[in-house]
Amino acid sequence: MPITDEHVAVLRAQLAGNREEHLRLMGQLDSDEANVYYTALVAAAFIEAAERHFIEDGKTADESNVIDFVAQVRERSDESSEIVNPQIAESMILDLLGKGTMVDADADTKFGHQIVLLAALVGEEQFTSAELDAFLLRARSLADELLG
Amino acid sequence: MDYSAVRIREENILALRLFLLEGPEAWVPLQDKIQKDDETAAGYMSLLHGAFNVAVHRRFAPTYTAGEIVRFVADLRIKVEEDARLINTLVAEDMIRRAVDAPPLKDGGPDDVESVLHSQVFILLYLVAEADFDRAGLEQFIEDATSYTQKWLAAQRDRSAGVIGQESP
Repeated sequence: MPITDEHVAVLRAQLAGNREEHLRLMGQLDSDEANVYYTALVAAAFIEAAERHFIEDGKTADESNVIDFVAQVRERSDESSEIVNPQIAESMILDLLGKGTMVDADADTKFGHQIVLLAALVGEEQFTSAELDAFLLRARSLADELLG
Repeated sequence: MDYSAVRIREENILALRLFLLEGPEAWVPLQDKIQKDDETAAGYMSLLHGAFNVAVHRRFAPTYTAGEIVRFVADLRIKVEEDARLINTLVAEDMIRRAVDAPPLKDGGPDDVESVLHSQVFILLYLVAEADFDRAGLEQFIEDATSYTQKWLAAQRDRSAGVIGQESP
């Protein structure tokens, strides 16, 4: 089964900051959809967003850019400094950029970090509605590839 | 640790001054002297701990935000480039929080001696460089660190005496 419009709508609501709509749509997914397809879509969107942020004209950002970005996410509030483990967050990005190895973390922790980092990356982009749709279209395509 | 046998001596103060001026390499020739026994080593390490606490207090007290601590550690790790991997972010943030009596992190990272010592040394030297002391400023800082450490050691001795007192019938 490929990623559906419903899966994309759940993520779109979250990234657009519409929490109630996100929770309502999330509640309509069955566990398989939530655990497999939505998770793959979030992972793909994270990859898209991180590559967009950290790779410019084929040049990959260095480790200091990653440290700085994760600190930007964590310094926003007491809560975010506790929620985001800097070692996990940095290693997720560095692993993606081919500059490090992902540290051990369980699937839920990785997913939680992907969501927070994805929201921060998308927030920085300040997408218009059309740009957000285009971004999600690319993420959907990549998620379908990941699901094989 | 028998804190009643730990004293801050002139040699400890001289070693701290060397450490602050020249970095950890300054202690390499002192290794045998420092490691003579636990109490001798504790004299050097307690003073280093005291200097760390005074430096952190001066930088962050009385007002700070958790975000400032996060940013400080990130800037430190960016500054030290390759050595960033030696500094565990959570350990470093948690040590600063404890030094300013802030609530510790729920996950303060690993508590092994190496992680703690690396964070302590990098933070201390970064703060000293940031303070850009003149000669008098450095001497005042060392004096404050010595005074802080003596009070801290006295508190450790009192605590040990209290525990022993509680154990007595």
